Amino acid sequence: MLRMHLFGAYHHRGPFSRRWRVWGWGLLVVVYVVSIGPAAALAQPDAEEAVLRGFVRSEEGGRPLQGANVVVRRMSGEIEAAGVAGDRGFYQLSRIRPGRYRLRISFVGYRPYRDTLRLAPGARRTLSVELAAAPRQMDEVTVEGGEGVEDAEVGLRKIQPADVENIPTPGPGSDLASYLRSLPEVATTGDRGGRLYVRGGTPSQNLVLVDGIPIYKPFHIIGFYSAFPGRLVSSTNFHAGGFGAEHTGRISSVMDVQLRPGNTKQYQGSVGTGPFLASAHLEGPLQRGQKSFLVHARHSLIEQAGPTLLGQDAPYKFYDVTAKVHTQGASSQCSFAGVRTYDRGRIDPDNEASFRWDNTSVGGECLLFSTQSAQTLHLSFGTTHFNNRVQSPDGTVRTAGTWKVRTKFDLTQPAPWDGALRWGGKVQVDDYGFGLEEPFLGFTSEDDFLLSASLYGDVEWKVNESLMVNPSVGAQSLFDWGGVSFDPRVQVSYQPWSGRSATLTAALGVYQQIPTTVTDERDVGSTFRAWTPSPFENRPLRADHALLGWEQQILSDIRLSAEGWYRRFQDLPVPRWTPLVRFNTNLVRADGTGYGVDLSLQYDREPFRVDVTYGYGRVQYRASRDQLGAWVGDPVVEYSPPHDRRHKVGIVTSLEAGWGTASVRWQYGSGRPFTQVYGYDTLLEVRGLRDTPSDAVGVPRALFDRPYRARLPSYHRLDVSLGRSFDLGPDVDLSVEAGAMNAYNRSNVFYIDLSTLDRVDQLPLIPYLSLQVDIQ
Amino acid sequence: MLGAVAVLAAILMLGGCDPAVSVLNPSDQYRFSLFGTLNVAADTQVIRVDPLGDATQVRSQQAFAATVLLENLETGTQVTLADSFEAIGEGSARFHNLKTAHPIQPDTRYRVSVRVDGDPVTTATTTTPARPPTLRHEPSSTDDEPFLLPCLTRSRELVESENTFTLRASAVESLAAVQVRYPIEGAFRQVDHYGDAEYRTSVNLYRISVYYGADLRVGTLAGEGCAGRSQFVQPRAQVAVTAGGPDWPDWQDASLNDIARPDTFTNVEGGHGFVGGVYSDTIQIPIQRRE
Repeated sequence: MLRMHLFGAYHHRGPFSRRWRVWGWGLLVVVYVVSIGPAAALAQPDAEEAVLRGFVRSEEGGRPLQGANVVVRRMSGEIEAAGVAGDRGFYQLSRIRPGRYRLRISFVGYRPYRDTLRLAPGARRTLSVELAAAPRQMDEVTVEGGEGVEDAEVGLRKIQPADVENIPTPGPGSDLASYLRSLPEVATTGDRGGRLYVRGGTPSQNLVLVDGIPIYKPFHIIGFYSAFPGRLVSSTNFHAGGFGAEHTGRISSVMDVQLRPGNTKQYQGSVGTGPFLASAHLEGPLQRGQKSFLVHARHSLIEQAGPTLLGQDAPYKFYDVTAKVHTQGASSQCSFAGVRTYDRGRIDPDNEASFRWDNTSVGGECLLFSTQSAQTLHLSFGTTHFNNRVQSPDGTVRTAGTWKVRTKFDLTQPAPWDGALRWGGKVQVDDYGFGLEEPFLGFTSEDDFLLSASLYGDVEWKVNESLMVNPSVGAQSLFDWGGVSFDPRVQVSYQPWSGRSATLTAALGVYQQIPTTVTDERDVGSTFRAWTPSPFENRPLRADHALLGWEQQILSDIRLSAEGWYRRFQDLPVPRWTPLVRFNTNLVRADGTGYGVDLSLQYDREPFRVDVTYGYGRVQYRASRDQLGAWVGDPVVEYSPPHDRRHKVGIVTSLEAGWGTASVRWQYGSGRPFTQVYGYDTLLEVRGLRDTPSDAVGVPRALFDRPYRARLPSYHRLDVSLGRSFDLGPDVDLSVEAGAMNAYNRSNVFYIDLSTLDRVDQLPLIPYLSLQVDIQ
Repeated sequence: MLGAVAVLAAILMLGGCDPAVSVLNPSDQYRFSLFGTLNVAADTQVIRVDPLGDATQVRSQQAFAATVLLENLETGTQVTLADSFEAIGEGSARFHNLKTAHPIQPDTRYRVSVRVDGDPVTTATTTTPARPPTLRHEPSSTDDEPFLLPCLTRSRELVESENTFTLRASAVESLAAVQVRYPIEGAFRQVDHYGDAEYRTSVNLYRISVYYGADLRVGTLAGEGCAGRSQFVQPRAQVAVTAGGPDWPDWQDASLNDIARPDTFTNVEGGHGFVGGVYSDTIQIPIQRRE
């Protein structure tokens, strides 16, 4: 069945929204006119001024070095221009006066590149460099550690491979999922199911991009793993709110993963195995120095090893395959990537309900610029498919899937002032389908085919060396809804003192999202979800973000950061309450608020690194008691959803010595809310005398108390690992890692099945030994 | 160093503890659920009494520390219902069905009370209808549709209008149930048609339309066509229409989710459920030869 949505316009939120709409249109017009309209020529930087840009990569294999510092100094030593290489290792410095300069490009752990440049008037110079690895120098830590005001952004965590490798993970290799779970801004409901909650948001409110391609649920059924093995990821920008209008369509977070390209100079590969999984990868040049390929695959082994290792069934199977082709030229860099994941298993090994999901994402992206212009163009295109299925113990099968085709462009150019202008847009087609053997939103099967588009404008304005202001606005429209929603946002960063020792950052913005998922949030053990446009006709989900952050370099090797956040949610679909013991698909509207603070203290002095984090968060939903279907409580029911984990503490220590590496991670989380039951009975339908006591068993009911008033016990766990590499030959290395997850075998509660009162615990003590052979 | 070791040891010793979770939190306010009817026309009354505060789900525990009384509030007469902890359906689920053969009077107020240690903790009060429904099926003299077999199809699709009989029920304050019984050889079939009764204000009666084509098609082995006249043990269908008392809920169009809410459509205090007073009558609908 094909159903088209025909809804009215959704300009309904009152004067606040209307004000922002006018403001939003204004900013979009300004950005457009300044970028490509008649004023474009006027808006260009001074024709005499030069532009310097290029890529910074590692000499060994051509890996992009995101975060590399690029400094252009006059011969007298004063800084003329400075910047940091972004993702893909691209940098661009503009507004450089003609003249002779000293250039220095540096990155922690690499030998700096030094050169003398003569830039002619109006020059558009492309200079790509490769940095050679070198022992880390202590004096570089301070220099590289502080970011300029233009690179600071509240809510943004730039994750490097070294960060991910510090987290103990049953290997071979590390995984981005394990690292994300260690962050104070991320909450999880357990170690299975692949769901991450960011600052009060739900998993469906997170946008995950891999090389610019969206992917719906890249986290594996065992929470240590995702589609992003540590050795495959070049860099990750994780925005836990407050992000600019470049990213529209999600209201909680954005995780922008850049896969590293294959080695452009030599072939290399690896095979590895551990109790949880086996992995293999191969990479090498397709055209030396210019084109490369990379293929990486992992497959779980836990189903076979689990009974011996854990002393219990481990009915989990997953795999992921990633392939990437990369090509780089003088004025372009393109890549094509594909990711396939598969998961299958029973969240509760004692329950016959079996879940299965898979992702397939394929696409490409290009970064282009010309020697005639100061503009850079980023293009991405791709398709992604997600499908999931659950079979209940009674044989009921539910399936749901979504398919997306998306194309996006971003155009960046220097602004007439000290800063840059960016604008772009995307067009996407979404298909949402589900098939259920029971009523679901009034349908048992559905197929929605929807076309939507969005546009954004972004103004970077470096007011002076210590203040950066970055307003942006996004507009998105689902054509069937017939309206346009505007998301105005602003980010500010301020460095009050010289030396970049302290940075104050802030952000404010509106975030709206058209699609959502239907899932029974009451059932933490269920990972099944059906994607669908917001069920409230023309009202997208909305969150207003406010963030305030402070980062302080206390000593040369100690850094402290604190970030406060506030979110106001509107029009969230939440499951209607019912005492009937079955999957619940009726949705009602809820509003909510969330606020909290995340603290982070990092000590980094070789060979030690210590990260101590604390996160406090509070999330509350509000809904009408009648709409919610609750039968106890006040007319407006306020409750904390099941992901409202108030306190989170994490300690990660790592030691890198000549004999190898050691990591210890301890984490604590306060108990999550759950709903108590005051009794059970079976409903006899007296209406129509359909059920009589003598003939009918009735429909089982769980009689819930006030929603989410009780809390599960707190959670804590210790993970340890030891690793060492052995040189087996000139081109062969063996890496051995031994460790234990949940080292003191804490019985952490995952969830209680309220229908059966079965308690499901998280994974017990897991000792592991993993081996990996690298050949090059 | 020793301190660090001690802290680590304490974590290891305490951390492995098994934290308990209390999911079931019995309520003093809601103790039992009661479901059933008091039918003036029935010989035996059966009320399901399900204790709420225990961990059993699709069954009841055998222990039943309560007494259930039926009280005629007009006369003050009380009878104690007998507990039958009986297995229901095809499974082994057993329930406390409380029974009595005590005659139920029309137009009378009754109370079912569950007493624990002599104190009533859960009660349901209801009034029985004054009279049974008056049922008529007169196709020869009114616009009632007759019961004709075999079922008529066009393009292998049943024609609803050609395979529906109608009857009328009057003198009904509330309609509680319509059940059609087809005496078919080998397997008697009873079908609920409560949703097919339409109240006609002008004539103050319910017109009940029974689409027997759908009922009898399902009953055939092949699922095609309809059960033939020869398959009927008796050449007629039996329709039981039940009137509800004055407190019978208006729940005909409610969803199952709404009915399942403990706070809706209930007359039970100190618990959940519904116990209603009803009065049934039946009518025979003969099968006529199709012209």
